[in-house]
Amino acid sequence: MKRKRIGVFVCHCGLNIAGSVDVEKVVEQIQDYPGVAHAEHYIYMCSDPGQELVRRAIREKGLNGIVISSCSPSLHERTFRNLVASERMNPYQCEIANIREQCSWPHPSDRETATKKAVAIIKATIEKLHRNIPLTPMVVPLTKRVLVIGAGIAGIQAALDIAEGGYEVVLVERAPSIGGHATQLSGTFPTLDRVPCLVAPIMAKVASHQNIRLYVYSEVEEVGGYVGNFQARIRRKASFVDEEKCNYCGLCLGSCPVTTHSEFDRGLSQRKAIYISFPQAVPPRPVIDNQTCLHFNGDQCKACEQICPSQAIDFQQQDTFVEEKVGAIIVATGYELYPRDDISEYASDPDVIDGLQLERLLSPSGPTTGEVRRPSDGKVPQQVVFIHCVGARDPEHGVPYCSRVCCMYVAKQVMLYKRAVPNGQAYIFYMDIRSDAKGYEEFVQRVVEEAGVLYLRGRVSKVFRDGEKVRVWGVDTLTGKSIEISADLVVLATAMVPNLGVKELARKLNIIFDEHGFITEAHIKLRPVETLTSGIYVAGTAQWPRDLPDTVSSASGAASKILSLFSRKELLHEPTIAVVDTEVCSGCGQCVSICSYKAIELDPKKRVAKVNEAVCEGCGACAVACPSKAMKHKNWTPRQFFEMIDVAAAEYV
Amino acid sequence: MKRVMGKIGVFLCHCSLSPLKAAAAEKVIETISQHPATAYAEICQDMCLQPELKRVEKAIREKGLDGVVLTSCSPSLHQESFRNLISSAGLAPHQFEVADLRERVDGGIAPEKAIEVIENLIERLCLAQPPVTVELPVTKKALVIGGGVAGIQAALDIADAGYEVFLVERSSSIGGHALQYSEVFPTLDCPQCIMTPKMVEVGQHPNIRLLTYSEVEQVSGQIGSFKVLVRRKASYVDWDKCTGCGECPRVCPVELDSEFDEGLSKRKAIYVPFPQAVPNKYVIDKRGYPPCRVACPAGVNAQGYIALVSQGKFKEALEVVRRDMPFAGVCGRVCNHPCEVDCERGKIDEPIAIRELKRFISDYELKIGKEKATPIERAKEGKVAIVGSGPAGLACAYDLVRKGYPVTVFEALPIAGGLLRYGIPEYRLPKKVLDNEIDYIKELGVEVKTNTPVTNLAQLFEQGYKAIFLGTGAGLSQKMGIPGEETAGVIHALDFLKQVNSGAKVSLGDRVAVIGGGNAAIDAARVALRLGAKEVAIVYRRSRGEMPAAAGEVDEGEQEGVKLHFLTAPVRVLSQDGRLTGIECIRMELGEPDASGRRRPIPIKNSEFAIDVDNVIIAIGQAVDKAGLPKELTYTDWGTVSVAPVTLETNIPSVFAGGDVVTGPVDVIKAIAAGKEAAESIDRYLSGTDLHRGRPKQITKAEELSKEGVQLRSRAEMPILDLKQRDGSFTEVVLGFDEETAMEEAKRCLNCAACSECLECLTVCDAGAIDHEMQDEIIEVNVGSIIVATGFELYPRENIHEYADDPDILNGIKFERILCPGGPTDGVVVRPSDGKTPKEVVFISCVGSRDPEHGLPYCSRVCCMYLAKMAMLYKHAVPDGQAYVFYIDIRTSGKGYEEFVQRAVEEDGVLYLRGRVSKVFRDGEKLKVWGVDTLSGKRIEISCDLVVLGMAMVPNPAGKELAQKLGILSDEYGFITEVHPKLRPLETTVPGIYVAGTAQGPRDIPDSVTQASGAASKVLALFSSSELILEKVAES
Repeated sequence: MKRKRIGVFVCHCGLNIAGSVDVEKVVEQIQDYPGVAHAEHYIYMCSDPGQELVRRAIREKGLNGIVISSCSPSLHERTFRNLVASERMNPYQCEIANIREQCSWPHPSDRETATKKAVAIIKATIEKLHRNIPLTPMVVPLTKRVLVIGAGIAGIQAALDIAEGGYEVVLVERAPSIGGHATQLSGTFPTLDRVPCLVAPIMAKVASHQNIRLYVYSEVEEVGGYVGNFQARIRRKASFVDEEKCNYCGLCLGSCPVTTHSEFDRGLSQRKAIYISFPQAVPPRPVIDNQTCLHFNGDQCKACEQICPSQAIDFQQQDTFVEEKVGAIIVATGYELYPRDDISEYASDPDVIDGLQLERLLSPSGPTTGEVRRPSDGKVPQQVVFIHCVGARDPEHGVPYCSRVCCMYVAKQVMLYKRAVPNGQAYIFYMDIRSDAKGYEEFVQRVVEEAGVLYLRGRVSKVFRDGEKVRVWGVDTLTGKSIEISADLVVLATAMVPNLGVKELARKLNIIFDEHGFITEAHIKLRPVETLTSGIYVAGTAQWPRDLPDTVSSASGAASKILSLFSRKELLHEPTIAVVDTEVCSGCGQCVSICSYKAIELDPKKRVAKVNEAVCEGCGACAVACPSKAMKHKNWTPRQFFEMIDVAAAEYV
Repeated sequence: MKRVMGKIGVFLCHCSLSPLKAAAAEKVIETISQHPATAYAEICQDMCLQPELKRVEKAIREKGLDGVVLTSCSPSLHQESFRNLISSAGLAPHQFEVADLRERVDGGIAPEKAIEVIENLIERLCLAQPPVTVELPVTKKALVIGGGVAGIQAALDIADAGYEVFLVERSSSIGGHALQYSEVFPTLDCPQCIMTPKMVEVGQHPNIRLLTYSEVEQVSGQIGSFKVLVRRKASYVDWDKCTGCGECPRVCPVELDSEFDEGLSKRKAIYVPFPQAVPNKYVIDKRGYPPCRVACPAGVNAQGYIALVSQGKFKEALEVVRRDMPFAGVCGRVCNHPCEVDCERGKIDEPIAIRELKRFISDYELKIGKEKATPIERAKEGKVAIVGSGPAGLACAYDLVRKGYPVTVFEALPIAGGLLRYGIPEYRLPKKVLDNEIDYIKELGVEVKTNTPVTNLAQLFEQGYKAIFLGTGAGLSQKMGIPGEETAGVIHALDFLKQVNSGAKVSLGDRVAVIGGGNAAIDAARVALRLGAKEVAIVYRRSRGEMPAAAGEVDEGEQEGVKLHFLTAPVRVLSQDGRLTGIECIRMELGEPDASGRRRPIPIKNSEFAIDVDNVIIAIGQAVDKAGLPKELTYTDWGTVSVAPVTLETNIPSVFAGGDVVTGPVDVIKAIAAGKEAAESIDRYLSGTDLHRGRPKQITKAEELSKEGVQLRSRAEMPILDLKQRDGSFTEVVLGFDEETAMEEAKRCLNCAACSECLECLTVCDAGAIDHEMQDEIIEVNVGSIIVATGFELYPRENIHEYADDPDILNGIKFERILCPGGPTDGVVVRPSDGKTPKEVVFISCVGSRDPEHGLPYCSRVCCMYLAKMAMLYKHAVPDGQAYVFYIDIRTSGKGYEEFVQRAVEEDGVLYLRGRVSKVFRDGEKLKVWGVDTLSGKRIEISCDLVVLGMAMVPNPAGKELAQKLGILSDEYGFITEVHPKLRPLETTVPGIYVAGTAQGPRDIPDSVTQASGAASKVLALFSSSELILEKVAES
């Protein structure tokens, strides 16, 4: 190995380092170390005069390796690598020896130890630097299009923000219409806006935006590639209605002889086998549900085809696939309610309904046109019990976490219920009231005062049918008394859970999700809209339960990350990544299975591992796993590590 | 006005009419249809939906309408889709109006109101002119206001997208509150670790222009082109030069509570708020003039030299005095110290011994021996003559010589010093002290010509002097005007003292009466005692309280044996054979206050009595001796030289006057002040600049300090010479402080003005970055968009008196600092009062929040979590301690939050008690907390060591004013109002201005960061087009 001519620059960082490290002594002890051609110290290496010292030393002493002994590399590695690059040195010949966070700060009052440790850290870094090879960052092309998966409020907002930013968006939605759960809601808290009024305009905007390509009734089938260069394969499910020909007249709906439960009304109304999921659907085109359609179930029924004036019905239609190239992806797959069947206490009584069902009953455009009538007999319920935290905050019967929105939507529902049934009485069983956003606390107060609702702090132990009534047994933990209420209707605020299928999607995208299936963000505090995979972002309830404003904010946040990303011409990828020594590699494939980024594949012919350099994040897991040591991390080879350890630990051996 | 339209269609959405009964809705339509301009009217289905919009569009075309009124619920949401509808129907934007019916009809207004609204709109449409479209260029630069975590994130997102960002932050470093926390929930990351890289990134980002220590002053313009004036506050450090080396705070003598550590540690007056500051640049905390300096007529910087004394920097301290005047030793002894009267410390216990400390530093110089001063280069031409070498003349000469003028002082008497030398006795002002100070003035280059009375000013001008200062004092003794005054043995105090001070032998009889109550009277009496008089009595016509002499002097005189006859006035000097035998006096009583505010003495009839004395010394005042002054001068009614106020010009051009000759006999410091003022005038006069501009100097007085937590400490006593040793001796009576006492006394100073302007920082700054004269600077930035991220503060504790100011009741952020490994206690949990480890800690949720009667009605959103975190961290630090949390509802709705609180309860044994606290009070070493557990219904009493308050978040108080400047709305609490709480949470009511983080409402870090990125995306979308098309209503 050819020894380099190395310059060592020791920073005082004011008193941050020099306060406990004797910088002069460090320079004294390091200047004769093998390979060191120059050593000096300065009060602030990162300052202009400090950088000038490095520049001058490179020129005058002909240095070809630089060790800056200063703070964490996360702070100034880039500064100094840019500096040496401007002196026509390879930037990867510059290393930072962290003698602040790892030395002066933890040893504030032990000057001797700190000084000794600083010398050891610098020597170890010199050893590493000797074996550093010159590297060049990879240039990765950038496709400035975005795939947004899910067209609920989050997906819509993200798509609109990016489209407004001037980039093309591919918006994929599984359901026949965009809009998500928000379209099912009766009103919003705390302003009691009508939801169609809120969402219809933005849905219309999505449909007409020139930068948005909308695929409804579609699913992401496969995703490959990496940041800047993803390819997505999208399955467009057969709707059996030709989208070019259909003119939305709706005649087909009347002709269909089949009726089945409406998903949109959560079983509280009926739809046909050919249906538009809800009147405000975007696009307003019908689809045929081949599970219930007689035509697909052995019957010859062609009622819809016969009535359609524009010959849009096409029973032969097949699923089709489209390929889209995008540079970034937003996951906005939303939520579902915790399945009620999982909670045996709340048996399957028609008058025990979930929150979304009550939303439909309260909605002026719902199955009862806004009149609150209970499903079993259509009577107006006079006593309604609302139960919080059903399946939430309840690790034994559901999920341990809090669903964040239930406290507020229950309060809102009570308000709307009281407006619809002024002489009715509402009871709410709660554990803690969580009304922690703008205007929320005040709203709950209003509900208590205006609607005269009885808030009971406690859990419900049993709900059962008792003739015309539903009996609720519970406990008021404030008075310690047990409570029995004979109710007409029971509303369950069931937990929000991630949308079904999101785990499968996450696997396709190679992003991480937590034990509940929510997408995991890169950093919970500071990178909440990024996933750990570059170029893939998360928005809305796919990440965690949240309400509309927080969903909209997170969608705009994810959009901004992409707008920033797309402002560049191309992407630079760090070259400190894994490399295979094909002479040694036995093709065992251990590295392939351990790589979280799917960056390694086996070359089927040569039977050796191959690293996709643009995908590799340089984590080093493969290098550790490789039994034959064929997999190496550039500039972090085992040899470099061992030589560093030898020096650093010399005194302790 | 011309009607431009006539075929109006009205489309009323059924939704907006839904609160009306069907018949009422019909009536609306019917009435509207009858309006002459109405061509078509109908009630539509959901207008927000596409099919209906398409149908309306068709109707507009088919009916050939040229104006349309639409109704909706919230027009802000529908405006855009209606606009699209209108344009696809072939109409222009001015050809439609939207009626916001829902809000009105919902509000209980009858159909008549709806009709009125619609008819008004029809009328308006009939008159509408096509709008003028204006194409506005978009300045693709953004302004982010506030450098906390939200502002940082927004700035980085915009900058990363390639646009320039101005980031304005009020304090000198970005970072905000987040850096104050110990660790963050639920991951227990250290905020320094997660914040510092972001902050450094901001600092180094080529697209970010960081404007810290700055405030937005004024905003004008509109979306796409805002013009913003930013005030860059004077940091008194040139940041281009400052390297952040940290030398200056080491020499700064002023220690203040660190805001960052919530007062748990100290910082210097020159400081960076915390070590990781970005930019790592120093600022000097200046708050104006301290009260002591304001009170001093000569503006001597008392806080400055006291600060240096406290550090043992005695030589440097003397330099601070000498920046303003040369007489530290003199004034340290004889000044009447108005500074001490105004000293803020006096409001707590006793004022700082300012005068004594000044004396101390001059004594110290004498003790170690003064080095000869370096003469000042004579950079200026005009020669100046000073007539009189008293304090006024010498102070004037001193200032002028330091400005570079050649100065000559003319003194009639053999030695310079004026009244200081000849009026004040040795035991009070030793000659060596005065000599030392006059020597210093001479060494600087002032020429003093003694034995040189000036009688003719013309001669001086002939000798080439360009300006003259008259400081000849008031040396003429006033007479009593009583019979026998001319008797031998009657002496005037000034003559008496002058003789004694000149070393002449003065012989007195055994019994001496001194008439008068001023310092000269006391001096004369005490000198008389020292000269051997057996009995010395002071005769004063008022009582002790009215005596103008310094009280200390009177006391000392009394101790030495001076008798005091109050309410006694001389009537006649008694003599026998021309030899003085006594003085006849009369008793007085005090009547109504006179012009001086003192009660006027009135003789009591028939109360005459005689005192047998051998000498009478008259000390009832002095007057100006006109005989020695030029004839041309004009005088006041009181016989003093008449001068212009402030500039001190006399009626003779280029002649100025000040001191006793102008004011009559007053305090030394006032004479010095007059000399300085005259020097200023002479300098201006000689350099040809305006004499009046900027005078008198405008002084900003430092705002009164909070005295909270200041511990009482009494003022150091000056030792005095033993009474026996004083007898017959002119040795100085008051002995002065030793070094240790002086330093301790100086440490009592409260540093009212923060920076003491001692200028020590200047001496160590190699970069030459310190600039104490720096001024605020206003810069203009032009941006296309603005993000408001001004953050929060905690609700002020003072507002909740239940938690009065006990040092062991902390707000959350203060406890964060105690828990922080890099905090003031290095992460060792101790309580502030006594540094002991708290074994029982009570955390109280919802202090000031969810509590409209004592604070705010809203929930602060983050407190439940941060209290849980702090309870957990406390338990990690003090494993055998017990933590209690009083709560109302536990609000843990974020990712991993619920589980986190469970961990606190299960793993760390934190006791959660559901209920409010009714009272917290001190009980000896402990704090007692009274509360109620609403779950068991029992009352709870906890004796604990520390109480931590989960205090409500309130918007940054500066945010409200800023909102006004920006023209955006804020709610009753000051949080910025968004356009729509559900779907447009990031936009303010002004287009182009967005909001992020806690400026909008309380939230935690992830939500702030998310929102900041969201706001950035709005800006980026705006910047994606190069110009905006705005429509303006045509002027008719």
